[in-house]
Amino acid sequence: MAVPRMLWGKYFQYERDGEAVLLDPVALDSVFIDSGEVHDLAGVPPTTTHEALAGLGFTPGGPEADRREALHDRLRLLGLDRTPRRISGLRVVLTDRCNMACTYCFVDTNSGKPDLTKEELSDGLEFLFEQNAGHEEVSIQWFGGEPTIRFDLMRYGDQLADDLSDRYDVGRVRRTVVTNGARLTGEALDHFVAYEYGVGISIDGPPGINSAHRLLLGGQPADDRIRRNVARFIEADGLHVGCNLTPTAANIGRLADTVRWIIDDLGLKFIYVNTPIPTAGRWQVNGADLARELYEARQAAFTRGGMLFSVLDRAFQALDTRRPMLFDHMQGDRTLNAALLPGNRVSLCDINFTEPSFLHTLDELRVDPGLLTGVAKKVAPMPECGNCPALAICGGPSRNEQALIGGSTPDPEMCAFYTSTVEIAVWDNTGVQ
Amino acid sequence: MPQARREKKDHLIYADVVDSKSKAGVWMGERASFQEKQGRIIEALKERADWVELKDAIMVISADPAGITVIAPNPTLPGVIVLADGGSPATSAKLQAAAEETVRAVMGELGIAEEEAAA
Repeated sequence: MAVPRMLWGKYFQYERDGEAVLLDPVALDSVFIDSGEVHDLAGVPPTTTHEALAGLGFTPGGPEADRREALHDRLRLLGLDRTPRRISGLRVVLTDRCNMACTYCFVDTNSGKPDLTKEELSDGLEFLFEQNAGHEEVSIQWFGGEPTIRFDLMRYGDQLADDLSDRYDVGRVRRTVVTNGARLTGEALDHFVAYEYGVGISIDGPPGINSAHRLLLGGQPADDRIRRNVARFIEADGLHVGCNLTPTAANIGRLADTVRWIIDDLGLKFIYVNTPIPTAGRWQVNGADLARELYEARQAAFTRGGMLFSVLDRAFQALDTRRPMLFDHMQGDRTLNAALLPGNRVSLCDINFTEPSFLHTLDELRVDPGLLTGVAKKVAPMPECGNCPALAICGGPSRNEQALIGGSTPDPEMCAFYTSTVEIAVWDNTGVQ
Repeated sequence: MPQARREKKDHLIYADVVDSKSKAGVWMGERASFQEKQGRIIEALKERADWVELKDAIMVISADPAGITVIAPNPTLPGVIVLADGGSPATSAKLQAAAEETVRAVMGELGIAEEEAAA
């Protein structure tokens, strides 16, 4: 991707086939100018284009402002606070046991550590509802390992959640499960239907791709079994079924084809592409390539009546709404999904179960809600962030990324990814999703 | 004239796009909901406008250049309606021209002659 040049020291100017887009990286305003206007802009001001741009708020003058400071001011103006208000959802890690051994899983599976106990589950759910008393919704996501291995706990927890929602006057409980789809009993399926579950099935692609990193414990592929179970999920009435797709070395380069297969062959029309996590200390994928592939995969999904969400949507939504979208791991209502772990612990980051700075007991969180600051993002931590077009869309590495890469300096591939998403999004304002 | 990016605050599904709620597809439930709402909106619009159904209309989605093109048979006159919307005025024009060319090419392959518009 081409590096955009700066206009008047404050706007990024993207050029393509003679046209250009100007982007204000703080306010997130952007404007298209045609080839004649690009030419006009290079003339001695004020030209018609200069005047028209001024009418849209794009002017050469104004005080020189540090863009990082300007972003902080903007966040304050919009009331966007980096600290979560409360925990409104729990990813409940029932067990680390799993019937599959995926090479890239961020969970240390089949470690022999004890599962969550019934008491720990009860305490965790009590905490969740108590924190959200009188609120509209809480979410519970069953997670593992493979959570259906402890279906007994899921059933117990769902019944308990019904009681707790009444007791604490919580309007709605949103239940989801993340499963590999390789095991599904009739009893579990009936239960998911009864509770209107959202089911996220982790699949990387057609058998040749999926089995590159996702095999059963014994080493054999699980694709036929998964395909049968996906069909059972889809046929069941009232379930919301989707696919969690992880970009891997096996499907990178073929993401759009993979998405077509998921929609056409498996029949899953909702796809969420997981964001790369630098679990090995660095990004394993080329950021610019991934951004382009996600875009192509997104379009491929649309043409088949599907939906594809990924971190790429951050750029589209930020530009369309003119609002920064840089708070990873926090929901739009400033609440947090945390992870409930065996051993009476909660991780404030639901994709990192081991980082000590994220781990607290329920009682610690009750006594000191200020602990939630521990996951709050340090916005634009490096001076270089101030020169980045993705300043208000990426905002720098999350606390989790900082923990995994061991510092505030973002992985170069992460920077390449976010700057590429911005370049893609500035040229596409069709708003199809 | 320079053209500001359209503001769009009505993303059908508000995606926080973080690695939590998104994982298990909690938005999936929204799909049925928004499609049902779309149906109601269209039905209500039919009460307020003179309209004709566009049977067999299709929306073409392209990535390079980005844009959407609605192609539909004109329900009352010979011909095919092409409406393109790209990321910029120039892109829209490109998409429009490309889609019209495709329609002509298809007509040629099918042996259907282009009719002159009535004066």
